[in-house]
Amino acid sequence: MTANPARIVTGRATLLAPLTLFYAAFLILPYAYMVMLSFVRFNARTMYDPVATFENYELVLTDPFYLSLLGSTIGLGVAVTLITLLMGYPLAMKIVSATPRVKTLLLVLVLSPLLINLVVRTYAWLVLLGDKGVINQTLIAIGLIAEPLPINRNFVSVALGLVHISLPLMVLSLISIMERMDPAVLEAGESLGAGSFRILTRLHIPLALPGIGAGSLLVFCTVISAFVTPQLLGGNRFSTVSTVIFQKFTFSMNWPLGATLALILLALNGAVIALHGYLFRER
Amino acid sequence: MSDSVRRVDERTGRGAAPTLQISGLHLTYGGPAALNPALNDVDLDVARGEFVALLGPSGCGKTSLLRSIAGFVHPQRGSILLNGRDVASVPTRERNIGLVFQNYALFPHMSVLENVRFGLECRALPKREATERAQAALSRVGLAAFAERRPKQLSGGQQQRVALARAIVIEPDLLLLDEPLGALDKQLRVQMQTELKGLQRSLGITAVFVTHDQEEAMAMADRIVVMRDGTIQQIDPPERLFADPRTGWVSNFVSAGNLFRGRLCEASPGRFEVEAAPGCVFAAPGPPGSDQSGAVLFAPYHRVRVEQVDQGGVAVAAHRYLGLAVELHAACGEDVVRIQLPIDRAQEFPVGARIRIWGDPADCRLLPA
Repeated sequence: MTANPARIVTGRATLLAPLTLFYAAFLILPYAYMVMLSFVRFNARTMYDPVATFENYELVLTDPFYLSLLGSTIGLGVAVTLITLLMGYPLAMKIVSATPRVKTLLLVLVLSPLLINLVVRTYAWLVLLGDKGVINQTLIAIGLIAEPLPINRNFVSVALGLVHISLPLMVLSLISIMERMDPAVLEAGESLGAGSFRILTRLHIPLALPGIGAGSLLVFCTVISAFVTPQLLGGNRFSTVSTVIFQKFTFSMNWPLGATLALILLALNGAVIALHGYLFRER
Repeated sequence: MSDSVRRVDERTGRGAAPTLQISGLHLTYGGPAALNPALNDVDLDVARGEFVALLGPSGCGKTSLLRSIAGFVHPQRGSILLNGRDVASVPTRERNIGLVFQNYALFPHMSVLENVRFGLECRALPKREATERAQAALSRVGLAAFAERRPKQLSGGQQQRVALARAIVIEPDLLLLDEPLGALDKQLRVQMQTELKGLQRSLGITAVFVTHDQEEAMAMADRIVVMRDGTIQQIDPPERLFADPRTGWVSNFVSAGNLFRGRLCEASPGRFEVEAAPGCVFAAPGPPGSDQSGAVLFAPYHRVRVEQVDQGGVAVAAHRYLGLAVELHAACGEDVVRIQLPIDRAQEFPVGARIRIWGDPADCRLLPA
């Protein structure tokens, strides 16, 4: 038996074949179908007319409803990313500097939202935030407010729910970069006369930038494509691109428009990933 | 930088207090329950313009002492006076101390110039003046041409020079160096030792540096502080430390000489002897009639007397070349006695030759173990 390089290569190809077939059948083909759908005309009776057209994209990118939908989805992504960053940064600093035992405890607490079933967690927010929910009832009972606060089925409730599940992603990204930070660099800054604020802004944050970038990317992309949380906490009053895609496919049966929205969301994610890659390229 | 020299000189008033006065320093990590203190009753004065080395094996407390002076750790007892001022409640950033770390600890996201300028910006100097002074400091360490580079584009030695420029540009009252040359290869290390020493001299800056390398301590320091288990064993200039170690442990650590333990007897009043091998007697003076059961006899390597014999004595086991000197190894029972001789003399005693070795009371001393 002599080792034949060609045979080894064919051998590997054979082993990879099932995986390749799997991806071709269940990823590439559906995507190709979606792309095709986005370029045909909607027909309520036959689903679509086999006519090549750009009118779906034209509609989404010019109609005020869809533009504001895109705007509020991106706004939601930006808001949740910023909130998790502002909350997560001090938290990550605390965890990194904690003693091993406290560190484990804090990590478990930070990760705990991920350990609860998505639907259960989301309904728990409904119980808290509803017009007759715990928060509003309590505030009304003690006379602080007369009418329920607008924290239900709107931007605020959706953002809250998404911050809750996104925070671990942000904190973990920040921890991984902060753990690798050389404490001597910060000490050097201190010895040179820098106060806490200067150390934070001139040394700590610049050194943590890759973690800030990775965490923001993760959170933003998860948030703008999140479905269950905005669907349950936004109800029929606050929509995101994802919830509208769901409506197009299931209720109005407008698959061409749904496919168009899905691909625009995909393109948006792709653009953000590319931007991240550009900003944090190896220099 | 001439400005900085002048200012240092101005501060060097006659009869001024030492730059650094440490007394009764006691530091324990992990609360009072911890058994072994990192620093145990440490006293140390460092004079203005002096270059002092903290020397000891890892875990001896030298780094803890340096970090206490810098203000990164806070000793439970004792005091640290910097230019006469107790700094117990002074945060690191207000101590005006220049720090150089073993791994350089440069700011990776800033250019070399920005690194050096950082400390001046913290002092709210106008940007132009800060840039000029940073440039001057970089010229001083021979890196004027590298101002726009990033630290990782420089070699280890260059990075260490940047770290040095960054520390001296703020005109610190005290320069602290933590194993400053530990990460450099041997040849560069020796070159940097000379440079560092020259820079310290010309700036007249007071410096304390930590090292576990006794050669490095000898090469640079005016005085060496030998530490062990959180206590100071001896503080002396290098030549004195070598010639006159205070304990057997110090002698061993700096490899100053042979130590003979046990088997000590008072041959005549005031003369204590060890017979290392038949006919090989080492003698040292001591108080007549005293109990020296816990002592060791110290015989400096280069003070061991040696002569060739036809029989008896001990055999030369090996030659080890130390530049211009040769170290002869002779096995005396379980111990190896080392004898340092000039090269030409050493050739009279080739490996395998029988020699008689002895030590005179004029050269040898009794030391506590």
